[in-house]
Amino acid sequence: MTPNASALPPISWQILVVYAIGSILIDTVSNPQNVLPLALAPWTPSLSLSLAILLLYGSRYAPLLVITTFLIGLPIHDMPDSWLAALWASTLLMLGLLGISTWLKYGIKIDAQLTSQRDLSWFLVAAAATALCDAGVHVFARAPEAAPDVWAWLADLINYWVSALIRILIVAPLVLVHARHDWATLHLWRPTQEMVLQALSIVAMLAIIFGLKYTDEFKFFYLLFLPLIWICMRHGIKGATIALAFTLIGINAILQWRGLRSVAVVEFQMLMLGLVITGLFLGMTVTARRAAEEKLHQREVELNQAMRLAGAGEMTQAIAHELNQPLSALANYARAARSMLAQPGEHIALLDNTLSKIDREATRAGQVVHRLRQFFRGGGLRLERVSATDLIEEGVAPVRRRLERSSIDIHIEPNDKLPDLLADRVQIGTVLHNLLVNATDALRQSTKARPTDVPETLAIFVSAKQADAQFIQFCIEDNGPGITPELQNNLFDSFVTSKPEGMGLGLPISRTLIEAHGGKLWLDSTKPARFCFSLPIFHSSSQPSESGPD
Amino acid sequence: MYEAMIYIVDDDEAVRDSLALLLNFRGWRCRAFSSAEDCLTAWQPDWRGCLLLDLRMGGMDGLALQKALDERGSCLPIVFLTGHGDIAHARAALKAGAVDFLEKPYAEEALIDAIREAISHDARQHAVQSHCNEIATRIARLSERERQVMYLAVEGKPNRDIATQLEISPRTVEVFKARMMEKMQARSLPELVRMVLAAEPPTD
Repeated sequence: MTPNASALPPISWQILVVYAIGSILIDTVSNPQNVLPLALAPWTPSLSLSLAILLLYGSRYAPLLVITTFLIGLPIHDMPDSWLAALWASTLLMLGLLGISTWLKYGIKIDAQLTSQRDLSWFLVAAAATALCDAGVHVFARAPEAAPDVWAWLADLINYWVSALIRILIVAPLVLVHARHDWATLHLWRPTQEMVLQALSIVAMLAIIFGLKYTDEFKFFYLLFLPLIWICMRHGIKGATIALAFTLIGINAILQWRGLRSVAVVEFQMLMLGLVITGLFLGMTVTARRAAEEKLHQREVELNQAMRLAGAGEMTQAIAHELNQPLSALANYARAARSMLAQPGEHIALLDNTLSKIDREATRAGQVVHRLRQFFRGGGLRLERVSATDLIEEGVAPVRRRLERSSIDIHIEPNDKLPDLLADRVQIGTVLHNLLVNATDALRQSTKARPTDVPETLAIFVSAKQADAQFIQFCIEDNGPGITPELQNNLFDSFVTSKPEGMGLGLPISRTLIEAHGGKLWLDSTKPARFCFSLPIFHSSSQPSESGPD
Repeated sequence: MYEAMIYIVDDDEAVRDSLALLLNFRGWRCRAFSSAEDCLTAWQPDWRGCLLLDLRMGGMDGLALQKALDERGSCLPIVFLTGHGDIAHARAALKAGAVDFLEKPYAEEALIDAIREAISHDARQHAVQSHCNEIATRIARLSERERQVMYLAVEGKPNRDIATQLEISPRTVEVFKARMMEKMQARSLPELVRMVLAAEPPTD
């Protein structure tokens, strides 16, 4: 057996109860006077509900649906003259439904909840086939005198077919798209004002169409498209199915109330079929578009998350390394100190010295942890008033040693006259760090790649100047080989990198951080490579905030 | 004679200092370098002992130093210490001949064992090396004639053939040979052959 088979949920009697009640409702609503042949014929399972249940819950329900039909049929109708024949017809119909639902689910592989245009289109085909079967069974089963010649017989068939199709197209999608709804929260649901207006607009249109004494009933039928379009645009396929059901119930109620018998049945049915198909497809289009937008948005959110995680991953790795250093030193000192204890008198001074070193290393490890906490401190910006010089100094300090080791000179253009900035020190520190590390790596790579082309002294220039009344512009430049045209075009895309072990996230993340400040980050020149970013100047009116502008 | 030194290369001052302190207490002499470049500059062919090398350093990293030392003919065993349990790097290091690869923070026993193994490896190597050097010195002390006689004798030629080839009397060959054997401290011809092979391994 397939693993799915063992995982099947038990047969749910609630589904059968819903089916029973639904069948009776449809039977009642569908004009029992049979003005229009919309009514459920006795002793036959409700095609639309059965199809929906088979699609949603599987073929196991097929025999139960036949039995339920008979059980609810008994008190309503008398025992049919030949109940065996009725049972036979029912079973035959159910087998047809079973075939169609199996074909839809496993042949065409549609989603039972109708989530795409494709699902809906195939469902439409299946509904047409189902309705045709139903019409065939009923028209054949009728007494021969009901249809004296072949044209009358054919007209009957088409008539019945279309009305069955309308019923299937209204009821089954209604069930299918709402079945998996989270019904537990139903009691919290309140109609919005708009929904009330939408319902009222349908009522108003019905009133215009059927209420005006001197108009032909179907002359203004097209007016029904207006509320339907409105509802579809707002609520997609779910709204469409409800609006269509509501409209059909309304029409049937009016027809019954006015006792209309002489309506042009075929004309009405065709109009109704047009309304139903338009509504379903329009609703599906809206739903599909929304789903696509949602998916796109979701992916964007996921990508952002991934980027942040990747950044955090790199950070964690760096911090793990930094934390390992003081921890190893601590362990070494402690082990040495224990050895000194063997002859405490001889080593007392050394022991004291070692203990202070242990103290110092523990503090250092603590600082690393503090930085880690600062990095992961959640939430938005923490804007504060800072001077440009301080920002640069904080950004440069962590890479200074790395620069020295790679024999790279760093030139910071001193500029103490700049106004203060409004910025998050940690985040701008991250940006500066990213840009400086990029510059360092570029310079180091250039010495490896073509040692002859390299300038005598490798250097990075950091400068800050006032761009205008609002912004201060920072620039980081290196005298390396510059940025290749290929790289330039997608420099700020995620996962684009020129480094063998790079993630390609530094620049995108940096740009995001700067833009969160209301500034910009851009490539100012490709040779020499110069990146610039702007940050807003602190004004006495601009309040330092805890959460930032988002 | 053989005196081991532990050469520590780590760009973190505290790690360097604490390692040296600990290893001093375990009875080893240490010398520490703050960068791979410094170590490479100071390196001498007669360094004995082992290298404790941080894998990840600014500038030249541990693997690069291993390669550079190898190119200069260094046989110093290397124990890598790293903050990252990076399998790719570990494999590269071990493939290039590293003795061990320890992840920081490491247990002291693991460190001591690794160092012991590295040093005993180096000591064995050194013993072989010094034996060879000794023989080379003996060979160097031979006179021109004695050396000629030795090489011909090692090739397995009888005295008569050697005499013919060197155009001297067999009696003279015997005298040279006896003096050569004494200088080489060889008690038999097979022992002499072994010595010459050890000192001057056949090149082809």
